[in-house]
Amino acid sequence: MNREPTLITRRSFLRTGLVGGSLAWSVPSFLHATMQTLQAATRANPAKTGTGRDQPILVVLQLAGGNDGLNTVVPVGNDDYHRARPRLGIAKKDALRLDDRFALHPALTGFKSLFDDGRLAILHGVGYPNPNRSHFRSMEIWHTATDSDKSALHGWIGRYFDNQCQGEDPAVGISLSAQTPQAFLCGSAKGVCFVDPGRFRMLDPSMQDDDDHAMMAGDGGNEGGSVGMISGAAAITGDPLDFLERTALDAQVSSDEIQAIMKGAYDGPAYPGTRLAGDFRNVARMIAGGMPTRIYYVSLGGFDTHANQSGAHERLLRDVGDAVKAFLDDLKRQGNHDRVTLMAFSEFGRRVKENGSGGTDHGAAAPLFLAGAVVKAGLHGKFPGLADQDLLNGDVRHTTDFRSVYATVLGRVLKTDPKAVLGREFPLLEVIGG
Amino acid sequence: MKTIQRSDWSRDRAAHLLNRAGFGCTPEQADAAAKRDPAELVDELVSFDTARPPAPPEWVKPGVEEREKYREMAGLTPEERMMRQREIRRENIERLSQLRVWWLERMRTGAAPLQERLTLFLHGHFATGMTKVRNAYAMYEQNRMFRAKANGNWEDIVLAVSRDPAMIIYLDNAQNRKGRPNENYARELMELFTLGEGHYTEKDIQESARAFSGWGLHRDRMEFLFQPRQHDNDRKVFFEKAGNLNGEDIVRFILERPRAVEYLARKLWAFFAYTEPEDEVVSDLAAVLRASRMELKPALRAMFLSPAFHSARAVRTQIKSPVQWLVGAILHLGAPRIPPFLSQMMLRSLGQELFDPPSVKGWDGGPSWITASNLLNRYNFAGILAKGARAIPPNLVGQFAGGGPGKPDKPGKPGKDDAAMDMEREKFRKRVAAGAARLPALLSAPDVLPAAFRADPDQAVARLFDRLFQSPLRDKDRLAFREHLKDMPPVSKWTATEVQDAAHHLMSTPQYQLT
Repeated sequence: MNREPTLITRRSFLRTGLVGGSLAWSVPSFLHATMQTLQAATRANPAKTGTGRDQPILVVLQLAGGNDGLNTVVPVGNDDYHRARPRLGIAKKDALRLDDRFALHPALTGFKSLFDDGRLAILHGVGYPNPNRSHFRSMEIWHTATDSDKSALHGWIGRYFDNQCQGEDPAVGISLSAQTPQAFLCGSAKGVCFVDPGRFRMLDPSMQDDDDHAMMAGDGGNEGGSVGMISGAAAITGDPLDFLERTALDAQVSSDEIQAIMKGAYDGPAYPGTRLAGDFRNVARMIAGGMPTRIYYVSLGGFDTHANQSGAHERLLRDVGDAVKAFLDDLKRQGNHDRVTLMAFSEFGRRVKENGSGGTDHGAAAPLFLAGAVVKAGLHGKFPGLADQDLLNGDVRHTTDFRSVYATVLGRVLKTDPKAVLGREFPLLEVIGG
Repeated sequence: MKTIQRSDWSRDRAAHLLNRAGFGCTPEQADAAAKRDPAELVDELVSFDTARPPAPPEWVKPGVEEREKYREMAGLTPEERMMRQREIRRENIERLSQLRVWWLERMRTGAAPLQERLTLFLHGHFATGMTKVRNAYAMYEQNRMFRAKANGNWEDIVLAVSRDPAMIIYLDNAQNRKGRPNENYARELMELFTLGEGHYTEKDIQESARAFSGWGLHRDRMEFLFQPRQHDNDRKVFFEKAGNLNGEDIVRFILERPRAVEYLARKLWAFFAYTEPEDEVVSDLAAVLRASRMELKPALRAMFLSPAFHSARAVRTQIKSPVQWLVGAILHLGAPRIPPFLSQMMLRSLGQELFDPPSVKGWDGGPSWITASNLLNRYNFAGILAKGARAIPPNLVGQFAGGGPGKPDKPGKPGKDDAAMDMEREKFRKRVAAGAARLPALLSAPDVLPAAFRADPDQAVARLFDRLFQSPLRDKDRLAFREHLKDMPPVSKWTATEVQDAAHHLMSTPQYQLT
């Protein structure tokens, strides 16, 4: 598809209205009429040109609820681990070997094959100083990339939008979620969120389009446990009416673009039948369609395994491993694997010692995953150690600050100045070549 | 706290009060409220009668049925037991669906809209979700408890929540036993329910978790059960107090902290007025709470009568939650009932499933309700409510029959949501078979635009704005709509169709999302 530069897309949208603009007395033409001021603002702010075909792309996967890192990348050779986890510990013989000391959870066959294939990097001990054990506070810290004793409204990805994507399409960030992740919050109102791209549009005003009624099948919905979805932002700076008007305009612009892609056929490979895999398939489809999107955000909840962890955790990890594997294979088939990098993180790991309910409580540092053609596959960073003197209040200490990972991704994947986004220097990591 | 006077009272203020203390109002209700003395009106609003609860959904039989279920289960073979469990699960999903409509109907018609608003506040504040609880009776019981205590005492509410079976399941306190503490409830009690993050230590969590050990439930009765043998009777140290503390002590010590009063004041203000209130507003409201030992009624009264509640920071600045949007739309359109099928699909799509908040933090609210996608959906859904869907939507049936990628609550397995969707699909198939799949228009044209307002377009526009927004809005909005009317037949010739279209237009605006 030969897409026009974004400014033209937006202008033609404003000229023709939402769904062709043929009806004078229709909601779309009314919306159009009420948007004259915004239209003027758009003209005054010329957009950069550029198609989505050549830009690097970052896909962020959030594992919400606190993934048990120790049972994900298992230190199989570590006696402290087995002592702390008499019931939940995973035996060496069951786990999927990475090297002499570490192995993946048996359900992570998808990750294992990516690892063997040179497409998956694992970073040990990623976290931050003075860890916070509250889900919501720790997510906020990861989303805003602040020190754990400071708070901020805007997210790290939002600051990237503000710094690097002025005048670009609102769809420079897409989150497949019912809420805007705080990481996306920024001053320029970039980034759009929806659960299903196929349903992200206005209904035909005649209501005769059969397919329109598919909208009613329902988005949203919760995943298991007391920490399901990603957490959004509950504050904006400025007038709520301005915020709503900007969102309405963005909705219409990006809805047009996305519908153009979703209406076409997609002959991608089969994905597993889970919601997460469906989200990854939609991301692959938007990438193939040449969306101008630099950052996609996908999430899976249910990792808050306080009780009866083993079955639930196994299903979660199988879902993640298989979905990510299918996605990366699809990108390879598309020929887009060189420019797409995936980062999977959770707000914290879990307590080293299992609890009395067959589960684990909130912890601190945990492994983080990077996947794609540009990463140096293998195990990276220093494993923090699990002996009493190595722990911090019973938790795994961090050996790599997550903002070093962000800095590396910003600098080496998105080719931007990490300091401009993160506010200060963090050492870049060797996991992605410079 | 400062109080507005009779001389400050106006129709706009009356409408603002009714919108925030309830789920929306009609021009006629605003007219009536404008004629009242504000103090008298507010007294009446906050003094709703909790002694006579509404009749529960018919399947609610406290204690009895759950017990029978368990007794009957004992004699079954493993396969029979699995079958029975599946049936029970389906039954729970069906009941939850009825419970949602039951509650929405209460919001639409209840004699005390503030009671339902407060019940919704408490549900979001002490968020508990069916996804984990998996028992509709427990969810009903919690809802009943919130409604019964909605204008009651905060300590009483916090204690009732600590003993609430749905909460005990949701935050794993049933697994909190002597020697094997589970911190989940103790943590969220302080972080989310009473103090806020940063106002306690990790040690406080560990100690208070031990104090709540043995606070379990009678599974076959779905009742609170204190299990003395699971309770840790050793010494605990909590907020500088030591001894063999139990859960009641913990709640009392927490609520004695000055911070607890301030935390509640902020939460109430954010829910009913606006977020991030001025320090003075918080300290004034906190003083009212402190003076009454955390009774809600005087605090609500003070809030609704305060000048800050009626200030520019408050009026038409709140983004409607999906529930406010839906129930409000039903009221504005003069619809005769909550559409059971559509209402649930819409709330799910817009991100507020009753009895299933996204996390223990509840709904973030405010701008987090709005994304590009669900703003478009609000516009679309307004059209479906006002105008109905004019064709039988085969693809809707197709979607329900086939389903896309599921929304499993447990990855890799068909989850609760799939089962819920299956049941909705089945119901919908039946309606299609009965020829009833056409979705009727819910707008009542004589209510929305009575004949008396159809003489000239300016009058009609003023009435429509009053009906849908309860305020004249900005000139620019009014003029844009007035201009737009030029493409329509003259107002005097309008049929129900034009009124439906006009309502859909006005609801498809950023302005309609605010209250």
